[in-house]
Amino acid sequence: MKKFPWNERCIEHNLEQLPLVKDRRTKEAVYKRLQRAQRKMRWRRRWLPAASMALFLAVVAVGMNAAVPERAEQQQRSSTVKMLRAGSASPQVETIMAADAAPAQEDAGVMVVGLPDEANGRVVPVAVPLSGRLAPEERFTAALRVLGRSPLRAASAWFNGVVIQPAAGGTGEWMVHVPAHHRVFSANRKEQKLFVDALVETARQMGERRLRFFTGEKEGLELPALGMVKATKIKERQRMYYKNSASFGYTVLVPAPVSARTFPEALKQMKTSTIRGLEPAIPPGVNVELADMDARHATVRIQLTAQPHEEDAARMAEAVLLTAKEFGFREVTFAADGLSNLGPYPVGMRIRVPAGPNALLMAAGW
Amino acid sequence: MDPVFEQLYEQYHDDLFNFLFYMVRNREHAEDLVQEVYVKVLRSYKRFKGQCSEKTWLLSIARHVAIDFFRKQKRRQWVKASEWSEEQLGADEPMPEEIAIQNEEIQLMYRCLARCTVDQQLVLVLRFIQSLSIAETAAALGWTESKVKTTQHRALKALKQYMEEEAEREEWRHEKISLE
Repeated sequence: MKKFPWNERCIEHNLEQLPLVKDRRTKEAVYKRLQRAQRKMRWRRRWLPAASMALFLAVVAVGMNAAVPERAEQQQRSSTVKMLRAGSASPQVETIMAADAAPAQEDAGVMVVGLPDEANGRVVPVAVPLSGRLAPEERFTAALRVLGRSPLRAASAWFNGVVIQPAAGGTGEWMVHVPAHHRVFSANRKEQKLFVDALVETARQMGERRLRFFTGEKEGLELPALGMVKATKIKERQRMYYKNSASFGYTVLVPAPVSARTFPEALKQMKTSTIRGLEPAIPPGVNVELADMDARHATVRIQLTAQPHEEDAARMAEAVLLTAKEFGFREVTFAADGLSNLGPYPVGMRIRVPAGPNALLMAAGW
Repeated sequence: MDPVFEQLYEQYHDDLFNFLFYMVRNREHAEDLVQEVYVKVLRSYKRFKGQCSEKTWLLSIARHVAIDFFRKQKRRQWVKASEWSEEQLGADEPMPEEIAIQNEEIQLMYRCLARCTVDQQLVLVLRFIQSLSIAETAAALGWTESKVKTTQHRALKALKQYMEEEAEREEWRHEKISLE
């Protein structure tokens, strides 16, 4: 890097060099969204005053009725309402609600750990197989033990001594305890950020939404380059999986830090990559599109103009399955003329989405 | 398609998006805000009297939209003041590809730009990224030209200082690691 100090002219010149960041959407997509926003505004302008007035009148009417209490009758009425509500939920709705409530990582035999890849400055999630039924607080430690015996031991060593466990009282929060002498406190900015990002990725893969950090038992991590880190809320967002050819010496799948709004949009975007270091998991000559979908199942049609290598086909299938999982699908069926399988994934059969990516890294056979 | 939208899109969409992106530093937020700008622009297009250029007028609306966005964000951050949200965590993480492929100095500048005040950022983005003149910047911001000049001077000074601080810190860390 150029030695400082910079002079003002130099700063001005550099500002002028900042590139144009373009909107990736088409004119039609922008216009479509604009129309939706306009409709919403019109609706609000027209109906909001009427709705507020109706609400006000309803409140006044309820207030007047409350002056004559009929407790017994009211209790009976409310229990009838409860029974009606309980009986009215359709099985399909219940299934969807149950699926929504289920944690992202439901496979008891697998724990997905976000590993810091220092060479690439990325976090690589890896599905680690676990044996036996373990309590949630034991899973991370057990996964670290497995990783410690694998070729990924150097990356997982960043978590030595780190404990992740649910907060007492079932608040839905998870606590991350980092020992006071942990190497992260003397690491550089990139490493510190990667360490926290890896913990966040691990929590995200576990389906957690809130993390609190502790140094030993003291709240917060005082990271010299980042400042005090006390807690983080993990944003709900869907991601797409791309290929990174040189993580830990292997080709891995990593989720892209950008969002697509829908699964079909994600499939379209996955054909190209604008992120440095990441390549599309869908090889050239392959067209992938959503053919059909219902509540938790998607059918993905694959058309080939060129035959991809078997490893590429397997990686593409895994990337599609993992991306489908991000959009809430539980099962995917691949449809492809003249193909019986994509690597280990059969064509024409329902495939359950995997718990996490890069399981093969554990065997280091890729 | 609305012909007014079509004309505005063809002529100014890139500038508008670019301006909003550099202000909010997040592609999705910029997409939402550019939408909001169009809604406002189309609603008041007939009232535009041409006292300034169309681009300046659009940018002044975009500026209001961006400032509203910051106010809402600030309110939200105040509510969860004790939290270190993921967005803060990744303050410099979602660097767009366009910046990520640039040299280190440009990346450093992009990061440091976020440390400037909103007013300073507005002036720097309009003057140097959007290439507006002092007079056009003043019109877009509704300021006097002398306020633009003063803010620009302070902004450049602040940016220089932040860049030096950041570079010094990275250099220092680099030395420390190699010593160890």
